[in-house]
Amino acid sequence: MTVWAVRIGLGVLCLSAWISGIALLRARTALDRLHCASFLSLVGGLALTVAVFCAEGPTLRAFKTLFIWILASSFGAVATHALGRAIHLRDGGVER
Amino acid sequence: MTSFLVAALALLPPLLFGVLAAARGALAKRLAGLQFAVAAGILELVVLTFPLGAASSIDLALTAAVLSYPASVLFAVFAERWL
Repeated sequence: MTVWAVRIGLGVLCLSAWISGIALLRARTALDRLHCASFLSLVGGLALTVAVFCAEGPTLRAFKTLFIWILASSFGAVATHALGRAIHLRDGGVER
Repeated sequence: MTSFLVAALALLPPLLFGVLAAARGALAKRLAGLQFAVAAGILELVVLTFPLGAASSIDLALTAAVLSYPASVLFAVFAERWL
């Protein structure tokens, strides 16, 4: 049961990485590309955190993984917002 | 640990996609590609701690997570004002 939970979590991580990676290459504008990074951080990070907790239980490494996911979600949101604002201002409000 | 090794190998192509996106094109698109490469790299580092067998190596991913996102904000500030 635990082994399958780990495998499912890692499978969701890899699937989200591939989907967002392919979407990154196909995205037409820079603002669209930012969505791919956020999706990977949130969904992939959550799946990885669940997989690590299922594999190891409440160990130090598992809590560090949880902390990394929280950092990626919070700092990543700030960075994405700053990048999106910079991109929008540089392009004069027009999406290219 | 085989599952984590397979996942680490499967995460390499998306990381490569991010690096390619950060290496080509206009500045705005490259910054977005950099953001993706950072996220993929951090996840790859976390997954790699299991096949490597050294639990303390996750500190590398933690350090990357703490430092890389403020760096992205710094890039954004420079791109907005001076570049």
